[in-house]
Amino acid sequence: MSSSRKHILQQVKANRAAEFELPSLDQDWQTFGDPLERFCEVLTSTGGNSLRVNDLASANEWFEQRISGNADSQTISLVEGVGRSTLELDQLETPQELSGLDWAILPAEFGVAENGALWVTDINAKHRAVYYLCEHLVLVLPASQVVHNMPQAYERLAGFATDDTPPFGCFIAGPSKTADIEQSLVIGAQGPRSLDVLLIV
Amino acid sequence: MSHATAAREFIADSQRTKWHDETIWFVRHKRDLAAASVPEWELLRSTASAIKRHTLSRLDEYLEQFEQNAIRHGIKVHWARDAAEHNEIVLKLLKEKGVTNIVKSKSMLTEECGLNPYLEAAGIEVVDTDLGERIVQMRKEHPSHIVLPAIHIKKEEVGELFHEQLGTEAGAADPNYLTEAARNHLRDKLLNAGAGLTGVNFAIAETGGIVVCTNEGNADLGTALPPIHIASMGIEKLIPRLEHLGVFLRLLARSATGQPITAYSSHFHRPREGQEMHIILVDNGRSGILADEDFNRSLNCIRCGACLNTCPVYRRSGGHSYHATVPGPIGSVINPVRDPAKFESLPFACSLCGSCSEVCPVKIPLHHQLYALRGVIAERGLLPLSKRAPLWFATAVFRRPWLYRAGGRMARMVLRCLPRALVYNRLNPWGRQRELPVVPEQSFRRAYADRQAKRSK
Amino acid sequence: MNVGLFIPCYIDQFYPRVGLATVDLLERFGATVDYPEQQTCCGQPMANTGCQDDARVVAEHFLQTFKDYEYVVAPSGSCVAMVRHHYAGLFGTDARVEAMAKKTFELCEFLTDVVGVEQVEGEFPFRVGLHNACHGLRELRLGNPSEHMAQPFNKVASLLAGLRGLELVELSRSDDCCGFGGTFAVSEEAVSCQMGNDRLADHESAGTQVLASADMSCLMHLGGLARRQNKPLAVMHVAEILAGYEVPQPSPARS
Repeated sequence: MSSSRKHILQQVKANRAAEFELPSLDQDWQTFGDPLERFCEVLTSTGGNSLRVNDLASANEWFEQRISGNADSQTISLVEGVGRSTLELDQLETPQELSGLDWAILPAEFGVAENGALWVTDINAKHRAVYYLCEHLVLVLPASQVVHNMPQAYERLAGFATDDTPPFGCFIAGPSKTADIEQSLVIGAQGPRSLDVLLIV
Repeated sequence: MSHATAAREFIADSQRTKWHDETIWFVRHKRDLAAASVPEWELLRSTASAIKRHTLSRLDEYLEQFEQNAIRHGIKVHWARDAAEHNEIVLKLLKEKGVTNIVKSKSMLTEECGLNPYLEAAGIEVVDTDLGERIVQMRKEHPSHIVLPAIHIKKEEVGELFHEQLGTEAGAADPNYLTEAARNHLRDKLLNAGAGLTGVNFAIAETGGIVVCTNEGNADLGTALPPIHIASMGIEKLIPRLEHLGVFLRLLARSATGQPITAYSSHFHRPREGQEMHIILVDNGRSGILADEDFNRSLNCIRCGACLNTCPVYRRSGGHSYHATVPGPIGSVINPVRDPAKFESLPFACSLCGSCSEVCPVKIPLHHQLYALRGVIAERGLLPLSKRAPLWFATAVFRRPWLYRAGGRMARMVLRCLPRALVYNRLNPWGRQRELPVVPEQSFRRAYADRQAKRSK
Repeated sequence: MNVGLFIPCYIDQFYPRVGLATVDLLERFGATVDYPEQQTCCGQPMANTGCQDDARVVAEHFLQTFKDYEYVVAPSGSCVAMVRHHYAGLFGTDARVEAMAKKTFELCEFLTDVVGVEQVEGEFPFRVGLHNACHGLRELRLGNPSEHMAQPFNKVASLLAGLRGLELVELSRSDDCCGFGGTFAVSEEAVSCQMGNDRLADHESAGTQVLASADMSCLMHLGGLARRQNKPLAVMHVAEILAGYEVPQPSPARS
């Protein structure tokens, strides 16, 4: 193993491409008059759904209505006050036990206006599969936490994974989807079939 | 088989060719709309290009930095000189853990290495979890596109395939219904897999982490469930800093499918609790291209597939006509660069229209590289006589103005007088579907001389 | 303005009217035109096939032939792109090549950028479909290609648009390649003809009466396909239209 490492690094060093300067990222990147509005628009175009609510109690009301009539839905909520967990994520030994989970209500850290993406991490989720294995995903986000663009998003993430930060983070933009059969868009490929974003105004 | 021959076979089905061209043009059109929605699009392209070129200028340093940080975070790093070594490493890891079934998310690198057949020969069940990849895998084919692997297959054909192998209703061809069937089939495989393999879209030297982008969420499920995650990456996938993702993630999905970003852009920086995470750094000929100023920018490729979608030849000849893991303009560069004898026809599967260079999000001068590669092919004596001979003749004529004038006069006379059957024969590919120009009595130079003579009278 | 007229070999042999229209236009706008008899070809067919040594021989002849002119003008974006962008690759650093690259122009860009023509007087009461030839568009930037996110402009279309009665049709794909591509037209015949037929279909549904381009090579290919299929489509070089030449009668395929 180490001999291949040495060989490759030697080759790469010997064959270095011509010097080229790293460009500056300090540019006038795209911004929006109303980033929250833009975020919601793009989220809709990715197949997601957004809803502005005044507080967690209203978020909870919305959820209760959403699942009304499905009393035996399996739910995990990591957002206190919204929904009730029928399973405790922390107590599951393996992520496979999440199979059959209908709803996951999880926190998002911030949103990005230019592309409707939300940043999530597994810092409080013992099994990160919860984001992907649930049939329906609900993300809860304070409406104030929407940045304009991706360069701003990474400014916020400075320091991510350099020390004791979460091992995993993901930009989620809309539900799972595919267009692999004749370019027909189908929502709900392997992951969640829907994404609702509750914006706490 | 040369590209031209394979393309002729593809085009023989004119309905399918039209469908293929229009389906893929639709993706190019979506890319245009997505690019136009970003006012600084061209600045993004030049910034991305510069970041990649910079990275290649000190790749050894970035590789070492990446390795150091990954190890610090508990990731095991492996190095593979070539495809064989890569495959051996994967198999060894699986055997150590007694894994017999794995799930894979999309990775062109493992296609390049021929990993699937290698593992299958060793008794491992390999399931590609990207829907398009799963479809081609079930058909025992290769992807025909690097982003849309099953773009050459019609929904009726998928319906038939799923009927046979997944027990869907006979004759059912609704993409929603078929995708649902695949979802159930694949979720079962994902839940029971012994290991998850992924490719890598970007590896960050500064953090020692990797980013994988999918729309289906299959890379996430494939790594969040099994106890082992193995990620395979070409050494050129590196970028220096986390903040550089703010450039590349804006370009990748917009260029690839016209989406503002993929549904999932996952940042893996540490194994899950109780999980092992391995990254295999693969060279397989890449370090040799680094020093080549004519072609090293092909290593900047982020595999978005935009050059395939815009390529008028790709759209009308299908990915399989290239007989290579990566088809289209970028494939017509990277394959002949590594093996010019095997892929001598690919640089010529191009009308030099230049559209590929314009869409490339990292500004690889693709059509210039294709042009330059033709020189390499000719220099190595790999040019077929059918291409070479007419140009010897033409050069002999063009260097001698008297011969050019006499030859032109004669050619025009012959073309005017010969019976049609002699002009439009089997050896005249121009005339198979096209008329030659109506041959004028006078060349321009004669007409011009007459005109000047009249004027001076 | 002292202009050395470069008439590409296939225009010299097959399309003398395009050459004459070019001379008419240049003279109308005050250029002194000279046609050096010794000229043959720019070397593009060899270069595009990878035969760099052959291309160099032909290019050397071109450099000799045109060295003394103030400007070199050709009614072909493709040949001009060869001289301007690809001679450097054949000769390396060479003052003659640099000078030639600077003074060689495609006809429409010469009229627009050097002469400063804003409008060409004349009338052309037809629906014109402009075929944007790739090398002129993407290598000479006669217009902004559809892939490139910048302010749209098109020097060829602007010149045409000045003629009274001329209507430019709107195509569904404004600059998809026609499939000529030099030797590509022969070595990849099937793809080449498919590409050409697709362009023709776009022009037909847009209602093109006269198919025009600043590159006759594309028109040789597209016109050849149209004529084989007896399509009621006239084919003209932009120079012919701007110079006020008549629309040619369709000539059926010879039997």
